[in-house]
Amino acid sequence: MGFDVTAANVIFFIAALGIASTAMGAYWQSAEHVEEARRIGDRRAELRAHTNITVVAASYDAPDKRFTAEVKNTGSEVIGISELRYLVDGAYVATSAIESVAVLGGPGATDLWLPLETIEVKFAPIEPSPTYFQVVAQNGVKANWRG
Amino acid sequence: MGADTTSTQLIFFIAATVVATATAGIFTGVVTDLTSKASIRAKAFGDELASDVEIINDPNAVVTVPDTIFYVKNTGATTLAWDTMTVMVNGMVVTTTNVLLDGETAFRPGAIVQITYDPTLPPGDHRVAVRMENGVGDELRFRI
Repeated sequence: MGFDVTAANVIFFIAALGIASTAMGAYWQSAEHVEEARRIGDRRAELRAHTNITVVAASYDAPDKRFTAEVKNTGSEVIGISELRYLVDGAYVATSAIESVAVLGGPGATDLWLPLETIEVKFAPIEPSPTYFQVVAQNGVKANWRG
Repeated sequence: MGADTTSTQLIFFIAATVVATATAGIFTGVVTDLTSKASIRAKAFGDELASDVEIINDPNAVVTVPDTIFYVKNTGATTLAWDTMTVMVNGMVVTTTNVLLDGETAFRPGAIVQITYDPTLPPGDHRVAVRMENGVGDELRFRI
């Protein structure tokens, strides 16, 4: 084997090392990214499967034009109260139109809605008396009420 | 070994080195390009896995007067481009006016986009679907 062939082999060998190193680096980086995303997706699906909420009561105080709803956490996950969103008669209720959200029989100020606890949501004056009410948790789990 | 043989071997050596370097360069370029595209694809796939949206309208009471209003909530873990979402009503891509609610400036996880569809839908069964730029989406069937 001549020196020219040896030199060519050395060049190919170095190039192969470089290519393998680049490809392996990219592979591990991609695999890590996809694995992390899969973990997030699985965790989200698990949270969603364990989340359940039920509207147990709703009432309208005609003189004050105030609508109040009681919603129970019937799942096994803790839900963030500030992450709840509401629709009254199909229309989104801006957070500024929510007067108060409190856990019935719970501590005064909390953002945690524990399993089996019931929250009372009071809305700013609204007219006429709502017929439909929907509450949506952060992960998209919903509960409906029809008057 | 004569000077002519040495010159020939030198020429062969230079030629072999040049050809080997060029070939190795082409292979390296092709592999780098492929791995770069594979990385982009993997990132897009990962983002899609971590993203999710949900149409949170009450199917009993979709607001239809004066316009039809839909609400789309980001229920995933990534911030999404909300101004490029595709909205389909009854299978047709429609033009809508979209705004972020509650003073949000980005469609981050938990944020809600209000979609206003100008024509009033007639009474009956309807279907709305939204599709984000990265492919995630949701569909809601409702009755008016």
